Amino acid sequence: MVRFENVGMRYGLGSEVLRNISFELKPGSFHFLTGPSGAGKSSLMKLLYLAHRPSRGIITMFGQDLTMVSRDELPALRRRIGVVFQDFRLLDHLSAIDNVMLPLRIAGGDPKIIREHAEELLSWVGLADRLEARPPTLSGGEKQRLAIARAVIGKPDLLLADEPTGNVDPEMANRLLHLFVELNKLGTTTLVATHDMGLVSRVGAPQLRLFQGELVHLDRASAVGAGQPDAGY
Amino acid sequence: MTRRVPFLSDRADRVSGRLLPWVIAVMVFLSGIALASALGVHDAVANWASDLGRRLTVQVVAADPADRDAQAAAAEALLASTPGVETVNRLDLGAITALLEPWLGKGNVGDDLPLPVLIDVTLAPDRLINTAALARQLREVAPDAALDTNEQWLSRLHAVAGMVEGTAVTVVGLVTLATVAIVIFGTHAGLAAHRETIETLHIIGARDNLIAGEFQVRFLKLGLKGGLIGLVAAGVTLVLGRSFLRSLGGGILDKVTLEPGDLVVLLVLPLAAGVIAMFTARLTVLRALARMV
Repeated sequence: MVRFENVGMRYGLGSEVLRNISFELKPGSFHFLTGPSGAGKSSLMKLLYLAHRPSRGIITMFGQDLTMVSRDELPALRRRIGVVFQDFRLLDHLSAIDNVMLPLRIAGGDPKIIREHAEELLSWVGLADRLEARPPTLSGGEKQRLAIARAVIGKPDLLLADEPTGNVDPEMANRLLHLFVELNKLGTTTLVATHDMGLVSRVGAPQLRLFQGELVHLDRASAVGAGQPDAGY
Repeated sequence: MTRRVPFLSDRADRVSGRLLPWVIAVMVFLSGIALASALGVHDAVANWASDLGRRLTVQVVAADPADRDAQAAAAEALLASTPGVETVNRLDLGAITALLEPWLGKGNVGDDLPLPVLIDVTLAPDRLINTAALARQLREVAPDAALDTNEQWLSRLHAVAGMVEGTAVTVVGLVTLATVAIVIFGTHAGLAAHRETIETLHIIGARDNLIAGEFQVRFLKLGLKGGLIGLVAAGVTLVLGRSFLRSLGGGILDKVTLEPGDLVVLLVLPLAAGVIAMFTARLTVLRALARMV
């Protein structure tokens, strides 16, 4: 699904913020990306959701070497990736359901079917009664669930979540994590970036640990058959 | 029916949304006035030229009144028998005096002032006449007769019209450039205001065309809105200006008027403003997005 080989990344002419990153995410696997603040988690996520190019190394995604992929081909790859941003990045001028429908509207499709699908999804994340609410009127947990619904409506092959439980209370964090595990069970390869080690230990999934821009602890990440969260987290 | 939901919020970019239509209105106003002036002068000169092109004036200047009348009669006879000449009209003393009064003052044209004989000649429509040959023939029968073909007056008129048209084209060109520059500035302001939304759309798979499409629709609307405001202002100004020129009385300027075809050109201005704004915004956005991954 995703393979990094000796990947480095820098912003502009600055020094490398990621160095010699190598790992592989198998299809259907569940991983945590951990590390202290400033370790490079967000930078690695940017590489994964194709917002940044590596300065060196090879990234293979969905069987394609990204160094060989032109800029025009990137949107099609991005539509196979669902992203839950730490700051949600919801569009405040759109209603909750319009936010959720956004990825499919961008990809094109029957608006009626898209709406039905979005309504089901909002119901699944517990926002059935907030369809027309604007994001500024939603609580942190509701925004987070809305962001998750938007990330998964396109049935992505890869789901990335950057600190998805950072802004919610522990109970909500557990519920959100449950959503990710459920999605992973449906076959979506999932990577959750977090610095909450309690969360990691509760789920029991393998982790990619970053420290000062390097991958220091590769826990079962590339092992065949590994990467599934424990059922009883 | 599903409503269209904009990807970008108008509220995030209120500055360009509010200011741009007024700036474009001023641009269209200036273009409208410049174009209307050029088109009006062009039409008026074309009418004058077509009228004067069919008119000749023969002037007989001789000191002796008897000789002057004899030469004038000979000239009249020659002109009347010349093929292509439709009418020959010798101006009477009253008409000549009226022509001189603006310069000499009313009642100052005395009987002792030797006045030339003026013969107004109208040519038949669509007939060409060899004026050089006619002038030679005139000199043979009336040595003191001079043929005025109005060429000098017409060439001056064309020079003035050319200057007005050239100035108008320059004004419209400069205004177009200024409009493009302002739209580029406005688009960059819009891109900055929507930066986070654009990044989000980009990451969830939006193509550049989709984002550029949002901007181009927005700037097309702003351009049309500003264009219409400018056109209305220009129209009111032109109507008032026309009334003013008419109030000045029977001079040359009150002949300046717009033909229906000219009005169509003016009506196209708001559309042109909208299209210029739309394409400028589109190209600006596509160039900016091309710098993103």
